[in-house]
Amino acid sequence: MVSSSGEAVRRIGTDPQAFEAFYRAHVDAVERFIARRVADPHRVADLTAEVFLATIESAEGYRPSRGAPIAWLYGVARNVLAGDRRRSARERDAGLRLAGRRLVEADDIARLDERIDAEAQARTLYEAMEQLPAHERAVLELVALDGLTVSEAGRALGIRAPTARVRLHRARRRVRDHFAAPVSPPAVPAASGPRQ
Amino acid sequence: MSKTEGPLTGFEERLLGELKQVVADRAAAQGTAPGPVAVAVRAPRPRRRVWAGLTATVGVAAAGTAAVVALPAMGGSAAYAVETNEDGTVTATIKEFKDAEGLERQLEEHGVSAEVDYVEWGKWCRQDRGETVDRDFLFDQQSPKEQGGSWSFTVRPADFEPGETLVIDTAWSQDGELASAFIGSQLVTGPVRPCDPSPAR
Repeated sequence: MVSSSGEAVRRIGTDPQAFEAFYRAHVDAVERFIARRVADPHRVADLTAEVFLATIESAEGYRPSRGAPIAWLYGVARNVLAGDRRRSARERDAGLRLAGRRLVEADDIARLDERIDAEAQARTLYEAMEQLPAHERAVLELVALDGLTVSEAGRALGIRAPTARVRLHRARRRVRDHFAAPVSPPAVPAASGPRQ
Repeated sequence: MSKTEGPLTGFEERLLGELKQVVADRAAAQGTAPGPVAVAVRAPRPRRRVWAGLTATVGVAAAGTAAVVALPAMGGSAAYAVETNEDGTVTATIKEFKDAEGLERQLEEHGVSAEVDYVEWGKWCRQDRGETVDRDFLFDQQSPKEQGGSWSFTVRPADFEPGETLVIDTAWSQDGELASAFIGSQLVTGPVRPCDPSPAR
């Protein structure tokens, strides 16, 4: 994945053309990111809309030195999903600003379902990670599930690369210890995941 | 932006249309007056130290983003609290981003040599604060959403060698949400250069 320049990213909150380019380059990655965590097509649609709204609102704060746009984008997506998980279903509906599901038609459901099916293995791993402490889990998710490098994952989470490496190491060791039948994080879809 | 994208699905196309409208509205609003988020977060800002805790939360409310955590009004040292835990680690809880020096003193009393800088909205500390120690140290953060509106971090004084300083600076993201502010943390050995606030853009 070749991503937009830092300056272009900063403009997406106020420049519809810059936003369109950014959206076209990343919408696929965002949908897949969500489908690795959520199995309901309507919620995938809602959350895709929410993630892009959040990027529009936070774009001016994006700083290239803090990481590639994809790492920043995944950091934003993680925050949106974390906020979503903490809300009840009713709060969730009330909190939606732009209900993505409103824009979903019959043939979109089929496409979204395909995508969700394709990420089934990743979702199993994601659920297995529930056992991990939140800060270790965050690094493992971004590396093993989403294909970021360790330093990119660190940048997405606002931590330094050595810290990210240690957390990743601990998380992998814990995953090995927890599951008799080993789930092998590095082998999951990293190869097909987005890379800079 | 040179990626070759596939055609968008119907949903993606419709979503793009809606989102571009949102962006266009924001652009129009900024042409005359700052947008709602900018107003809430930026308006009253004459001081060097940013008070952002409370105001940032107001920003979230105005924008209607994620769950809003109401921060109680508080003054003075209630802006932060530092305590030593049973396992010897030290937890600092920050409710408002003000009185960085007071927080530094408190941390010092708990055995943590620290340099804390809260930077004005839209600025960053330059990163060359001194010689960075490149080894892992405990730095566990809890976000405001997990903490009922405050941000906290835990360090272990035993991790620090003599002459090392924990350097913390805030770097806000534009959404005005406490949870997504980047809190820079690094361990510096020897003298720490003062924060040189420079424009983030």
